[in-house]
Amino acid sequence: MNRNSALNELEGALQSLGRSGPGVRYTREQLTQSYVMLISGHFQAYCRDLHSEAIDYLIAQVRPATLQAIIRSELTRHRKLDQGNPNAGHLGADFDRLGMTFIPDVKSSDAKNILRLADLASLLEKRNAIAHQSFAPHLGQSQLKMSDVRRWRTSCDHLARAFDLVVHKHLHTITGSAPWPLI
Amino acid sequence: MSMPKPVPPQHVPPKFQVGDRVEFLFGVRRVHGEIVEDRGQIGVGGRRLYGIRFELTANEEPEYIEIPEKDIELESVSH
Repeated sequence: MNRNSALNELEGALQSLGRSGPGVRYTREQLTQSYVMLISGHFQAYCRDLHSEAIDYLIAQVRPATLQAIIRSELTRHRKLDQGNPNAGHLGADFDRLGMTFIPDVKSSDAKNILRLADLASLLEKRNAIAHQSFAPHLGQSQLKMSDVRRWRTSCDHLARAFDLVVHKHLHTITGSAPWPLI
Repeated sequence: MSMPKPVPPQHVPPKFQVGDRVEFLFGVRRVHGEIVEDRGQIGVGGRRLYGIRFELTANEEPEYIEIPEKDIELESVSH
């Protein structure tokens, strides 16, 4: 399923809920928590795919071809995005191995990305609280607002484009050719 | 989540399935492994990548690699 479709379906389910009635509040809360998990999961999958695609492009330039699998293996060894959240630390650890300064590049590509990265950190903090059903006092369960969730999703959308752009630019710089068409 | 890159122009059915035993060239060695994930057509020009677990050294933790479909073959029966 397309990533946007999956998220839109959940958004639609939330909107179709009535304002009141038996179990509505509980259902809304559960759907909102699912929404947070889904945004985080899709964003992680997107970042991992981008990393894989970048490696494939980079490795395709390597000659002799007998070296390719050896280098491929090294670039995905202990990849943080295979198991961990797409937080700034993990993103930097994985993408910096391609020879770039990922997070600084993202921040310098658009000043708004600093706030978007802060939104991503908030999303992941809430995602972890939901996954472990561990709500620290300052993260109170009741503080999960749809306006926040929607803003996090929008920030992730923008970050996805920014990540694509900085990785594209980096690969273009080091190989001399554009890895994929930008839209 | 937005997908900034265009969808590959044409869907090509996968040649391998998760669980298939396969082999590929690792340097000058022919190594054997198992497909653990179909990563989809996310490679160069929309080529399909597979996640493969393989053992490089006996009794060591298995390694993970992502390889384009064209570089993989089903494990030969004699192995």
